[in-house]
Amino acid sequence: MTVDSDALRFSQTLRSAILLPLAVIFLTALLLLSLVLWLFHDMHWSYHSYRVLVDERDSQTRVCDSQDNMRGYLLTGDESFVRAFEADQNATNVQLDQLKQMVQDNPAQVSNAEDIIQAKDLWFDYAKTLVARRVERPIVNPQDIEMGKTLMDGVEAKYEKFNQTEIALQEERLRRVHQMQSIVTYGGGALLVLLSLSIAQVVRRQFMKLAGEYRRALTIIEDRAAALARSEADLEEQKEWFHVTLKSIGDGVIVADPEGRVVFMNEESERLTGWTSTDALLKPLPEVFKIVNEETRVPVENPVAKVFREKKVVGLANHTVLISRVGQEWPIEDSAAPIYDAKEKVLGVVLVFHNATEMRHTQRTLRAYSQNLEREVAERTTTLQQAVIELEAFSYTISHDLRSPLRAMQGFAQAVVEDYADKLDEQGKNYLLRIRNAAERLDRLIQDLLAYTRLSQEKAMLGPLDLDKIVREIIEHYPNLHLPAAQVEVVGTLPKIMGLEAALTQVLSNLLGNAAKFVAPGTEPRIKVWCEDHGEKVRLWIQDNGIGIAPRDFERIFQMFVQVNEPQRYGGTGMGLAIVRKAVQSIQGSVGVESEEGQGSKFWVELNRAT
Amino acid sequence: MPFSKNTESSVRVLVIEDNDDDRELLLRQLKKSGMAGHVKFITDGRKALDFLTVPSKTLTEELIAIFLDLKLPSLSGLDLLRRLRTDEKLQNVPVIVMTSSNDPKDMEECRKLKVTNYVNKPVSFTSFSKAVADVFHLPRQGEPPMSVEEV
Repeated sequence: MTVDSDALRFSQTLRSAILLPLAVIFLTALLLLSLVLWLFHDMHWSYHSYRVLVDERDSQTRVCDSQDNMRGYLLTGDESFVRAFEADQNATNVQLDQLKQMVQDNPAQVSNAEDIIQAKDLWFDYAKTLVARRVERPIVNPQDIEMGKTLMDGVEAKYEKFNQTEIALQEERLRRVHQMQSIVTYGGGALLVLLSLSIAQVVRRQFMKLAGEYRRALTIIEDRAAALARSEADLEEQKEWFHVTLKSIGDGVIVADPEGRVVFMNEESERLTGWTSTDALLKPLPEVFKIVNEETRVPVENPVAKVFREKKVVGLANHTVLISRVGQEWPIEDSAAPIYDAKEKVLGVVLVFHNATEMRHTQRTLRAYSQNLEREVAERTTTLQQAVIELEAFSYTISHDLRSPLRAMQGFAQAVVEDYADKLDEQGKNYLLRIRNAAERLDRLIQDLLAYTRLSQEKAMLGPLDLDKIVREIIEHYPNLHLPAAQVEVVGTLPKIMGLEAALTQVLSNLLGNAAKFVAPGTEPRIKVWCEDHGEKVRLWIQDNGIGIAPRDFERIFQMFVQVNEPQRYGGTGMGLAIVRKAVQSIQGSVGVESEEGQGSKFWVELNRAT
Repeated sequence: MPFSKNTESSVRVLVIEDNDDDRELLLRQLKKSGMAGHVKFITDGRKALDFLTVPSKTLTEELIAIFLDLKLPSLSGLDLLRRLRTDEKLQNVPVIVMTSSNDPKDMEECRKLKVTNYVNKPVSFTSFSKAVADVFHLPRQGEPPMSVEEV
């Protein structure tokens, strides 16, 4: 329920509590007033009857007076009696007209009044005749008196009737007045009592209601007040919580106002800067938070200024040292962030920093460790390189020493065959040839193995090489690669590539040698060499008309000691293509083959174009 | 040890080789072709140096080439070569290195010491005579072709 509707209800209640009783009182007053008016009205008519009766009595008295005056004149002849008599007649005329007028509301009385007037006129007419006759005859006839008396009685009877009627009317009216008085007294009293009671009831009810509303309003106000108090308490608690949190936070926290002055410091920041919050309050930040570069000792830019300038969170450079009030130095790491209001205006800056001594120490240890590690690795690499060099030297020694006896075996076997042929039978010669061949084979095997081993060890820098020249020299150098042994065609001029001459020579001589070697018996080897552009790469093709290779063997032929084509016939060590692949890899190239059995082979070598 | 019976003045080619078998096999072929008389075999670097440094006008004038094995006892082939290259009289004598291992380091060293030619072991009569013949045909950088004129 809102405050507005509460207020509306309240004023409504208040209105009905006052207006309703007022209306009732007004109506009751009206009723009472009308009752009183009725009373007054009745009283008025009662009084009216009274006045009618008085006037009627006055009139009757005057008529009686007129009889006296007439009698007086008749007796005395005194003219003053005549004048009095005439005055009486006039007055009576007027009085009776008035009386008739007064009872205008009552036709019966009007008729009675007219009866009186008629009777009175008869009287006065008779009386006047008597008066007039007195002048001629001063003696009164008793008959005339009797006549007069009868007429007067008639007048009085008419008066009496009027009087009786009016008295009855007056009584009736008085009765009504009394009745009305009772009504006013009791009815009004009862009405007033009823009114009072009902007003009291209404007022009571309205006031109860009002009191309810008031209580409700009061409750609401109390609730709101309580809520307000609660939220104030909450706010206070929150403030306290923040305060405690900031105070007890492990990092140093300093808050600066828009002028860059210190407005808050927590305990850690007090500890690190050596300033108390009280001392530092409203001091410019750089005075409290002195920072220099650890190595150069040059003051570092005040982060608060930087935040105001860049309006974003900024971090401190590495190797920053905080110098405390007493000159103690702390390696720190920090960040400063702007505090915005709702309109994005910077209200201040929060600076958070922490003691980085441990971290710096750890970093130094780590750096030392990694340097140490690097040194160890370098040492071990040197040792390894030394070992490799020694191994290489050893391999040459082995090569020399192993091959030497083989040469002797070959040479002496040959010598025996040549010098003592006549003393040996065919079997003997055959055995000697076999000794020589075996020695030759072993010699080649040793050479190939050493070539392969050396390729795996080489990590030489590649340089630009003239592929055309190298290919043509190889063809020139090996008798089996030119006529009459074979036809070798080099198409166009081969480009310059990146490589290593020894490795490349090994690759090309092996591939060309194979191309010339693996042909069907009686076939003249025909070899074609050309290059294809492959962007950054160059693909050298060596196509032969040899016996070909089954696709299933494409991968195997590049493995060590694999010979897929009749080793008895073609000889070899099974190392040639393994050496080729190794050598190609050592100069960052690749090698592959396309072939079908009986259709010749196309070997390719992809190399980097010379830059 | 089968040495040539010829006098020192007739030595045209000097073969310095410590391996008996290699020496024997080469000598056999030289004998067969009648060339043995002009070839002197020496088994060791030190002995070769002694032989070469004995002042003898005829030797330096008549010597066509030296066949040198690199692995020798007492004084290695390369050491001997260095000595020769510093010797005023002998520095221009063509030296043909007999190799079996092709150690790249040795090869590099040989190139620096201006080795005239190389022959692979085993040295046959064919490769021997070709190497000797090549001495006369190969250009000898910056050196007066003295021996060529002599021949």
